[in-house]
Amino acid sequence: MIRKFNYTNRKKIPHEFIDISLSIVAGATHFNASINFPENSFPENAKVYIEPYYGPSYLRFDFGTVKNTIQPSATDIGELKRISDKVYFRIKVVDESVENGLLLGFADKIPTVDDGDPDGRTSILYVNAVEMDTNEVWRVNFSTDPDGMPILEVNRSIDGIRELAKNDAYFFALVYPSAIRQILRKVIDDGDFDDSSDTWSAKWVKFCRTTLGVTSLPRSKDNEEECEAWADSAVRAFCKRYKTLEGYKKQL
Amino acid sequence: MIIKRFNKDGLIAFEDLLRQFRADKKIDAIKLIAVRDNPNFSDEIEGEYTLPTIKGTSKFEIARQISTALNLGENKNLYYDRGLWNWLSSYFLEKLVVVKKGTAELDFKEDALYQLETDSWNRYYRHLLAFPCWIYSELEEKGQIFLRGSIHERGEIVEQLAAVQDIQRNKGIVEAATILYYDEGKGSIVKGAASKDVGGTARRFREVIQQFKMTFDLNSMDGAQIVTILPMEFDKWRKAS
Repeated sequence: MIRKFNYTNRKKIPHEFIDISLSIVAGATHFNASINFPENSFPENAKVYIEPYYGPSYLRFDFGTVKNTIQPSATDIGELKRISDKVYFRIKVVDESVENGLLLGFADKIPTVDDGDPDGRTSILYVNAVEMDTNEVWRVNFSTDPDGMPILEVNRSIDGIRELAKNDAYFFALVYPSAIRQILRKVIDDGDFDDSSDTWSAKWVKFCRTTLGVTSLPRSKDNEEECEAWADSAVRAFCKRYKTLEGYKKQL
Repeated sequence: MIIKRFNKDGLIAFEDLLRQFRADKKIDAIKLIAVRDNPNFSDEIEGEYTLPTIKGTSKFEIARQISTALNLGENKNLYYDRGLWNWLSSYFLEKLVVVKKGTAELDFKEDALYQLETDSWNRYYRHLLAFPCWIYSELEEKGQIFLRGSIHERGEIVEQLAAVQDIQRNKGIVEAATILYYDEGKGSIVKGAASKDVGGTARRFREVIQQFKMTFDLNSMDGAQIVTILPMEFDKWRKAS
């Protein structure tokens, strides 16, 4: 298990203290945030910023201070929505009483109300409709999520692609097994098969073990045979469990 | 010249043209103009923006002229307009592709240098026009480190710094890199800035910034502030700047 140490005195802000929702006003996407810091968690005059972002592109909104958080009048995130349906949010609590902005608190990947399932569950493979210049219909992207978590990106120039990716049996049968193989290949390349941490790869290893029932893990990433066998077993188990072939045939 | 944007057919026609030029290792100016000026392949941009004739190949000057002509500071949505940037690539193509040393053949590089890939943060910055124009529009002189040299050049320091997600769009960090590694008098990168295994070089700057983002709100700091918090190994570069 990878242990993480925090030498910076920066506090992690629990997600439950922040609610972010999106709204569309006159065709433009805005966000509303409500923040409730627990008493004495930060100095009252520390500044609060929320940064919606996707990849390296970010916007920054001043939400006042810890004592007096204020929703700015304009929170248009259309610039980011042009690139991607999914936009990430991070919040920063900053001490500006010193010359350089010392980071006192931080939370990343704050879920918005429209993220995940209505019951609060989140899917292991997020589907995001994005601008694609490459003529691809889909791809697995490891570089947009801040933690390197794989995202199944689909080309949003195709009408209804996000729904199709989630519900269409053809798409499911043809794309998901291949996408999962790519993801497991990345897990293998990274060489960390420990499923006890909260990293994305640990979640996938755990998914293979507990949901798909693939319990024999490769002993190391250098054992190519075992690695291949593991990924193969997982993809086979996935296809069986989710009846990819049956679904495909039904639509013929 | 009125600036236009390729439509879908124009994007395909330009892509085909590039493929052909790459195979021939030369640009057929007549074919290029035929595609660029074909009214079926491009649309005018709302507001009608005009580009003056730009002499020379200075990256800074070309970025300045395009950014000013398009008023990019106010039209940020144009940063990601693939049709626009590819049309501009076609307009400047003879400046973007240079002759391979010792030959008469043009040295075409990877497509991302001429055809914007808006969907991938680690490829957007490779476009020879879109990224310098973004830098100029957001930072002007403070982004000199990414605006030096000729428009067709990219350079080691760009690769080392712009390839990092947390650096390429952070104005304060780019400004700090300019303060440290750009010699304004000579209009060039300070000697040794791109070296390996030397303290305080661009490579180390990249690593230190990654650590600092855990402690400081770098997005609220300007370049000078960031330079002051860097460790001692950067003293040499602070003095040189």
